[in-house]
Amino acid sequence: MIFTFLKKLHLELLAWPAGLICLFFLDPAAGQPSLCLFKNIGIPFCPGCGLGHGIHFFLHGRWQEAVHHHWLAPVTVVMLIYRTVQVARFQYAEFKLQ
Amino acid sequence: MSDYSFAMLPGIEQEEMLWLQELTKSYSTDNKQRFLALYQSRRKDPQMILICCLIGLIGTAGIQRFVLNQIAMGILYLVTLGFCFVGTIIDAANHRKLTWEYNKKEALTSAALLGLS
Repeated sequence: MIFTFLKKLHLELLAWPAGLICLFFLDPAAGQPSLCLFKNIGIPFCPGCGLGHGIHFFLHGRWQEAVHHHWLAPVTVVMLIYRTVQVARFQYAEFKLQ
Repeated sequence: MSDYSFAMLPGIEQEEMLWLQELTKSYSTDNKQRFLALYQSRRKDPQMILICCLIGLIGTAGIQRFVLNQIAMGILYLVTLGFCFVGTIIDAANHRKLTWEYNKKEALTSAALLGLS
């Protein structure tokens, strides 16, 4: 029963909110672990560097710092929330159909 | 045009087929054929989306999002290397649902274009 439910669930619906919530609570200044796969493996450069910090500061309302860390941070937050809503609406329509 | 004409669409699943049969059940045979021809040309194959996802692991990320007409997400994937691979892996695991989400929209558009809905 639970498995059929999980099979029907759109993965993006879990991934984006989970990512945003993690980034909200992980404070980069306090030296908490990074979500970045590259950094954990040990690759030093990636065009997305600073995005996590940027999103953290944006979610805490410090917009200037956010843009300073990565100029796409505000766009990313808005897009991810928009996409989550889009997927949620699609999922709702699918469930209602059954 | 039999009930099973939709089965010839590449990579089609039971769920999609049942949904399409439900959508087209009131159409005449002629209209069903016109719908199928139009939908076929607009539909994306899940396998193609999977391949585009996997290209993201070795090169340019986010091609699948551009193909599925999600331009803004595509640009984000491109700039952030698919959210440091995490997004690319999620999309690869989820490619059937992503494609079905797009195809469902295209089916409704096809029906509307033919004036059937």
